[in-house]
Amino acid sequence: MIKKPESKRSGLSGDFCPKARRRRLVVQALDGETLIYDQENHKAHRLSPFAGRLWEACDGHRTVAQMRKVWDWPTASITHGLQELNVAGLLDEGPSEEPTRRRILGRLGRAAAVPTVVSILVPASASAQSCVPNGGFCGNNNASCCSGCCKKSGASSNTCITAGSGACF
Amino acid sequence: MARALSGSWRSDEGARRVGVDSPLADLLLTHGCGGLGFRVADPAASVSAAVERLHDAYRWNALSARRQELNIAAVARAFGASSLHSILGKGFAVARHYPGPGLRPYGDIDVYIPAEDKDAAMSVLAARAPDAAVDLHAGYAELDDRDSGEIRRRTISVTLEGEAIRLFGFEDHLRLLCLHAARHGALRAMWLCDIGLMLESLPQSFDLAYFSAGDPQRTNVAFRVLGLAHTLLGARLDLLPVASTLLLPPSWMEDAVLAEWGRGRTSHGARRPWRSEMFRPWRWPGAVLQRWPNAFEAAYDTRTPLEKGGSVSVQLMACLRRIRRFSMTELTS
Repeated sequence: MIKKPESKRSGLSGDFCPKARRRRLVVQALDGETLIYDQENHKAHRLSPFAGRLWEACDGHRTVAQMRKVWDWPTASITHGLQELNVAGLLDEGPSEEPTRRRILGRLGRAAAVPTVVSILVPASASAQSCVPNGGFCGNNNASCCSGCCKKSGASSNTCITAGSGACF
Repeated sequence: MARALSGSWRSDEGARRVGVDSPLADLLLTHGCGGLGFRVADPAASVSAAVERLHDAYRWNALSARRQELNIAAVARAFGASSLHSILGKGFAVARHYPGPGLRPYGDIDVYIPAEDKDAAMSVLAARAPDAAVDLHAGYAELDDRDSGEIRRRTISVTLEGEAIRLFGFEDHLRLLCLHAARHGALRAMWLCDIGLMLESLPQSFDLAYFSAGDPQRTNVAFRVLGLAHTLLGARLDLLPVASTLLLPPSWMEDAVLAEWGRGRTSHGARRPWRSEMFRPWRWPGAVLQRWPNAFEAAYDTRTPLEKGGSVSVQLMACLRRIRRFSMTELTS
């Protein structure tokens, strides 16, 4: 976890400079939305057009007040958007408190509380793969692994691992 | 599902709109056709929850495409630095022909290398691209009846993330897709959509004589698969200078594939390996049922002429052969 500089831990005051996380993310724009795959926790998110622009605007130097002024975004929308980006793990420098959705609803009103960051459900058959990637179950069959190496990794589960680690089935 | 997917790979003007309910959405997703399903779904005539699931599949495909491109570039970089001659097939090599991202799912990265380079290639991947899900093929799989030097000579190069990627030449790739689909009994509708798309993207320089070269029985199967894409999914054959009598599949083939699609079975790579089943006899009935080949797959596996295929005895023979093959592998390893 990155320690937030004291000067930037001012919640959502106008001088707060939110900073988007960029590392270990795969980003794809599609039909106005921003799709993000987090390679650290293997979760996928879709950002509404507003949330996508807000996330792009979070460069760690631009203040919330500047965002309000330049793009004419309502404070409530910025607050709500930043909270959702933060909860999704897409900010390095985010709001210091994480109010519950109920509190956001109460504080900002219904219009601002429309979800701007939503998880993408991965279709059960999304992959067309004919071999098992690293980490996947492989019985005791090396040939089923993309890496060609299936190894016992626990009491009962055998998983595909990077070849060359020895003791493959 | 076949009606819904008919021509679904074409540009927007050509794609029809269909109503999608939950069972159809389930089937489309099972067959890797969620993105295409979203594209042809008529919101006014569809169940909104079903369309939303297809929409998520479309989004996921687009995101996976981006991830895959980065991984493919990493793999190409690794092989390039090692002077290994790799060729990319299926996956990205097909998806790049679709009219937009998100229409085709991405799974593993199918990389084909000369058989003698397999060990070196695995070492390179382990050292330089360990996170990429590469399905490494030693040799050229269904193209092993052709001259490997000619296959390499006909490869084409595309640039991805600044890396040069070698892809199969169009004729080799189309033949590979057809024979791969046949080997798996056209289990997934997406494969036939790929073939329909490729059929309608034939370059003017398409070399029919080269496409047809090799084992005549495989060539016959490849032609019938092209015909199957036409009869089941409405793929246009007008760019292919071949008499329709050579292409049209026997009716049992269509029936077998449609029945297979209706079952929505797990693809081969995703099921529990036979090795882990063989010492648990109580699981054999279920395991055999899961592996019971459809008539098309059985005919291809046993090299039964398609004109004589379609019988249960061929399916039984294919099933026994497969069990024997895997059991022997287990006992000798």
